[in-house]
Amino acid sequence: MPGRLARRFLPLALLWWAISGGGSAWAWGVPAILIAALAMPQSGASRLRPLALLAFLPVALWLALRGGLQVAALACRPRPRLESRVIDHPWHCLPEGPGRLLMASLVNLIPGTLTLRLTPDRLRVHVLKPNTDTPAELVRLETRVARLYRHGNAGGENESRGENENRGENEEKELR
Amino acid sequence: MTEWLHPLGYALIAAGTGFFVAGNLGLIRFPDLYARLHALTKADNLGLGLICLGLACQAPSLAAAAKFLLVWALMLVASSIGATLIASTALACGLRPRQQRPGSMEDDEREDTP
Repeated sequence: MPGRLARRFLPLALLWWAISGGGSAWAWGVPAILIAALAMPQSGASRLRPLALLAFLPVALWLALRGGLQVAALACRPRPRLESRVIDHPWHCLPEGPGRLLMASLVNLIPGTLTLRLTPDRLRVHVLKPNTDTPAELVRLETRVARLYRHGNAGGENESRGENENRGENEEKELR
Repeated sequence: MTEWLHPLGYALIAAGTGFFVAGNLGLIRFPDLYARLHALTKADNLGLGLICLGLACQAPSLAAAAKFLLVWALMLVASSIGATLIASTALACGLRPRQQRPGSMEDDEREDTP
């Protein structure tokens, strides 16, 4: 419990620091942060592993940059020649839950893909300009997203640390 | 020491404006709703990101710079989820995405005029 509170406190404090413009109002801030940390409902984000998330951030930004460049280049072409296609991406290793939602939103960032529909067994994706490795890229993104999450019981607080370390390998085994 | 950040900020803002123009060009020129959503989510997000980054470079304090980046992060979340919601609603309403077979390019050009 104290660990979880601390994990919530830090991002909230950062948020307050940014919003209050340099943190001159901590007398108001600290109580507000404490109340928010205690009252915040348990969300999917609490199961994210912070360090893995930090490592994933550059990847996501790089994907966003490539996606933006591709669409901009397509739009500026004299005749935008699109070969849009709808493909299905069956789930490989992500369990039901917040991970899938994150994946669905990330698909909107990677070059040329847009999530059309999220169903329990597949992700329907609209592809602007299909190339042969789009399905492979989706699988790679899914394993990356799965690594961000500690899986297990919904609460997530009873897990031991050692268990989390093995997660990545387990997912790769499942994939094969 | 941080004087060089100002010109860098201007360059980033100019690049971001370029992406906004390209994104809106895509919004006008792309043939169907789904392709237009591509233009909106990707190019405009990148444009906004560059503008926010450029403004953050010129911000008077670190906290103000963090605020610009926060704006971008929230916008990323909102537009990504919004795009999926619009697309899945359109699909549920029976709007079929136009799919191109590799051989049928003539079709493409005829349908280009709205």
